[in-house]
Amino acid sequence: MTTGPSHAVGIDLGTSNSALAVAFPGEARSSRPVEITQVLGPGRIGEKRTFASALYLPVTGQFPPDSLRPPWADREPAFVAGDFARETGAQAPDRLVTSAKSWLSYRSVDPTQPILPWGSDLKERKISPLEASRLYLEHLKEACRADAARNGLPATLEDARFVLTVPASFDEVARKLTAQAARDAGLGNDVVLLEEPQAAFYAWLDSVGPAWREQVKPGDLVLVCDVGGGTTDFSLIAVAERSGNLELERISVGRHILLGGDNMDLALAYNLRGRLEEEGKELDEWQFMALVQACRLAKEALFDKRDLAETPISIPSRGSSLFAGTLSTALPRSLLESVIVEGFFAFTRPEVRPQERPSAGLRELGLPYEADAVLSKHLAAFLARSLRNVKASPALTALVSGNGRADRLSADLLRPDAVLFNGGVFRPKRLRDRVLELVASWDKTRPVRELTGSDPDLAVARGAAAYGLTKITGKGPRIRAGASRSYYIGLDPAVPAIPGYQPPVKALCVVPQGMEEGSEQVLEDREFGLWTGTRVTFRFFSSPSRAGDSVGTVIQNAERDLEETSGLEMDVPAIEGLGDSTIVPVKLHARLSELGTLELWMQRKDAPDRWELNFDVRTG
Amino acid sequence: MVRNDTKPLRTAAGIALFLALILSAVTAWALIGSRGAGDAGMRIQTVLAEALALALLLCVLWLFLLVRGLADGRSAAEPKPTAAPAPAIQPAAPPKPIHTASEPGSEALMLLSLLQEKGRFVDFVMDDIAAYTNEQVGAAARVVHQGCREVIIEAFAPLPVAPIENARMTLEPGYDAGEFRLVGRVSASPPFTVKVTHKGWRARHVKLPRSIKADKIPENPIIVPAEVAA
Repeated sequence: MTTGPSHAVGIDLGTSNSALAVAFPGEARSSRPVEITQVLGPGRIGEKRTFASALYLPVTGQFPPDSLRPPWADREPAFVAGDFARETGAQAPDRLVTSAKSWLSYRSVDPTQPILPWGSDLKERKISPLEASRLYLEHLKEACRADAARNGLPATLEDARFVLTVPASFDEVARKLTAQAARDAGLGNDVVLLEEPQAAFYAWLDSVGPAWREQVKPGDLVLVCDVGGGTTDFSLIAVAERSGNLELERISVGRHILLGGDNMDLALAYNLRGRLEEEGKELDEWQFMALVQACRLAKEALFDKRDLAETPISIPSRGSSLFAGTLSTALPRSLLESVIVEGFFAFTRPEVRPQERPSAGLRELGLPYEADAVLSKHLAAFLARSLRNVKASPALTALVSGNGRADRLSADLLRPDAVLFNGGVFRPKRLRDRVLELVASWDKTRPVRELTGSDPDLAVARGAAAYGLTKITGKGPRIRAGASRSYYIGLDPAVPAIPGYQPPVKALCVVPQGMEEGSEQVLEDREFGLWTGTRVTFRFFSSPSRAGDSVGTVIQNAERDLEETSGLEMDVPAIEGLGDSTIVPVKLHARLSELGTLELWMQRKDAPDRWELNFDVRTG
Repeated sequence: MVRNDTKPLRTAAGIALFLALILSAVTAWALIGSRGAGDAGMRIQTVLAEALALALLLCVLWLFLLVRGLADGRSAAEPKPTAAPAPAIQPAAPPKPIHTASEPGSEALMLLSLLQEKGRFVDFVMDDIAAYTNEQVGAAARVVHQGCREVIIEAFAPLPVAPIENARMTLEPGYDAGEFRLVGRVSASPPFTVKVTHKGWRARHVKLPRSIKADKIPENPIIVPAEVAA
């Protein structure tokens, strides 16, 4: 009946900024960015290349009636979204929702509860991170429609294959929540999830075309280094040769690092504010925001023009007298070098790890921002963990140590041969060069090169669209990826209770790392007995660095060796003819869907009954 | 929209028909009253014929509008075909116009408010420049430059018309007089050998923000509202 999708839409739902791209079959450079229609101010609408993932909750009557209504909305929405929301909300943080995405992957707070704006005194009208994500996606969907109308495209959203990107660090719960937000936003049930660093890699493949095969060679390891406004995401992709063809395989993903370009601009602004205060000049909150913005531009100007010693900065006062109230300062190159280059991208030894936040004492709930701002250490930690992950799996060990690279296994970390940069932070060549020098310093025997050719702001959206197109046409290079983590269910320890002694929780591997999309696994050698007519709960764990585990592997101390993901729960109805509270034998099945989400269910032995296991994100 | 527009039209047609009928009655009465006066009779007959023709025409128009109005009403009342089995994604809402027709001047006003909001342009121009030093004016100019530049690049993405200033070039016959403004002592006809004194600017695109509502511009419109902090 249906002919399948006619084109692909890539959605980069970013922590701070979102972007859109479309790809149609038969076009040479296949993906095209979509300008996003959004409210630019009261009574004003227009298009921008990106869309701030921010929501502002106006007070009733704060703006003229209907002046914040996007053209597709029937009535004025409770929240205004986009760049204007972020600008307005910066002056009223208790009415501003940002970083909703990071909350989806944070397990101390239930992301389906209305908790945002975080820390706000607003009693009602708060919103959940899930709902905020839905609102962004709904806006992006309508912006897509508006773009098609503006450009006279016959394409409709009904014919589109949507690819939505998620951080590589997202665990299964965060992915499920993202997919749910997409469904709730009306994007349909078959939205494909794609890891952001992979999307950046697809954008590179798309921009280079068939020549990509000349830019990498078998045995290469490519680091995708994605530093966005508020988050950092790493992935490693291995290049291998199988029966004469080059193949790509994503072998390791990083954790969710809450550190990015915004931290850099803030660090500069704090420094300059200190200098102004020494001169007896006080900045109000609004002026400080202007200073942060000015620091970002000054930073880019200094990186761009190597011969400038400093960039003057002017901060206007809030009143209308520009000449009397403007404060002057300058961003000197020495400060830029010491704060950004030597601060965030210091030359650190490969064995140095990021400082952890002291665990003693009470800590306020909230997003776990990094305690250590030195990105070099986070990168080293990722590459060292990647090496552990590879060593845990014979298949990955063979892949990585092949092509005469057995030396890799004896190093401190898995050093890449090439780096693909993504995110606005890496627009200046100085910072890209710095990271290349840093990586080179960790193994001086081999060179490191940069893979160039993609736009750092729009690459993820474009890559997502390009990937969607390969799904439609079946043509084009693909990265073998599969599950980025292995997953485990907790088993109650079967030992007699001993007062004062908490026996370690064992866990059983149910999904191995790298499990392919579209495949199914059964935990064959373990049978569970389920009480009918009850709710069953399990503890659920994951690990990004245990590539060697296979289905059925038992972990003796789950709390020590694994990360707890969330609870799993399942309602088992009473079965007719068996009566209440009977034990039925079941086996655990796991399937990784083509769309990139995990399904877990219990299959009754010798009967068609099956019960889904659902993630339980409630906390406390 | 269409039906809303035709309703007053139908009413007008009905009124015209009514007037035409009265007119024909009056002229017929006048005709009867002046029977025997040859020339005048002829003239009045012509008027009557014209009035009847007009009445007929209006009648036809009115009937047409009436029938169309009924047909519209019927189509609106007709049951919609039932929805197809739940598609993967909700069907598109009828496309709503994205570009709203705007009042003359409203785009200029919007650009001015943008230049003020992002680049303090109105503050800069309206401040008393004579009272301040060049250093103060210079510091303020940076603010204006940074913000207005952003607005202008976003809206127009300017690029030069002629690549290099002070270079010599030749304008061949048929050159675009819109692209090059010829000044100084000009010979009778092209080709002209000229020096580029200003490279000129062209817009790569024109992308102005649009008004959400197509309201009339009020008297003394707001450029930017006064800001009051709570």
